[in-house]
Amino acid sequence: MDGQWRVIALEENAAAKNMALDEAVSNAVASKASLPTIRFYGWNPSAVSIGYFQSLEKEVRLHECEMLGVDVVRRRTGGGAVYHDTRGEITYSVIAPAELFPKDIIESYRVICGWIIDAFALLGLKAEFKPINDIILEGKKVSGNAQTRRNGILLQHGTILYDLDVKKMFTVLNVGPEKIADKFIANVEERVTGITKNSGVSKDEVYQALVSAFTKDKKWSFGNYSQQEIVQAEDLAKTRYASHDWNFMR
Amino acid sequence: MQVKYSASEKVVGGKLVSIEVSAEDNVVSGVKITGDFFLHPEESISDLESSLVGVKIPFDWIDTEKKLLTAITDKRLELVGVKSGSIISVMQKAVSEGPK
Repeated sequence: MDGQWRVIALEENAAAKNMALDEAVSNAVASKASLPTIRFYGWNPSAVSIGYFQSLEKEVRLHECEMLGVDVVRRRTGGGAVYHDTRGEITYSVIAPAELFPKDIIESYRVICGWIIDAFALLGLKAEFKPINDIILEGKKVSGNAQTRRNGILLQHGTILYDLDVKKMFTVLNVGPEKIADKFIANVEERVTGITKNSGVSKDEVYQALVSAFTKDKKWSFGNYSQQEIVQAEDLAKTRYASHDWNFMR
Repeated sequence: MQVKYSASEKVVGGKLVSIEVSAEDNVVSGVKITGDFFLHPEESISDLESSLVGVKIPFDWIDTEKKLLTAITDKRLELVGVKSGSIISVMQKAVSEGPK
């Protein structure tokens, strides 16, 4: 991790724009037009992202999303469906040459998830990596992560759950209406957690801890997107990530 | 006559694999694999799916897994969170449950 890194400070975007920025930055890092990049971002409006291989119609309650103004987007990474609440989580992306990370995919998850675990430690919380792609806190999932590699670039993005709204989560994710019962929610609360359930730290303190842990031992500075990245992201947001063909692909 | 089979299973490692199989005259004519697993590169899911087209039902496990493994090796694919055997197992389950 000797080279210089660019950190894009916490921002909020619509779902299609967030995924388009990941791809535009990946392209710019691949062509060496941009430095390896760490992004921190939120989703506004709140959104559901689904994994590349998932069926949108099977995973998402589209009518409820529409009623609640929740965006939906297919990621270009595998993994599961995630509800990204505007207030309730922080998402990150690490976009860098794959050669900076272990070739073994699970080991590379372990490296980047290790940065998240370090951030939790700065907040006085003891989290653990649970292969393949989860982080657990007090035995419950607090972060899900997904990775892709193409053109020599590793992209890993993931969510850190801050304030969990299980009821909303399962109003927009398709688990069947019978499961929105109290018993089901209690069961999910046994398996998923947010930082607020374990600590009184503010969301800003979580963000500051993430910046510290992700940049430890790196040369880095805050930066902005290049004009090329912005133009490409706007195009990709429209033509791919907001398109029916992409989102209903499977 | 075209018939459709489908099944889902949480495989070892906790990932969900769902398979829809279309068949005509007991020959697989289409396969769709969905779920929360990982495959690099992602768009090669179509190579995995098409490697299973042409398989006869009831299918020979070893021969079918060989087709899948050949696609994985030839296209240098990497499955994460699911093994080729699990895909065949879900496909087997779909077919054994009968047309839907």
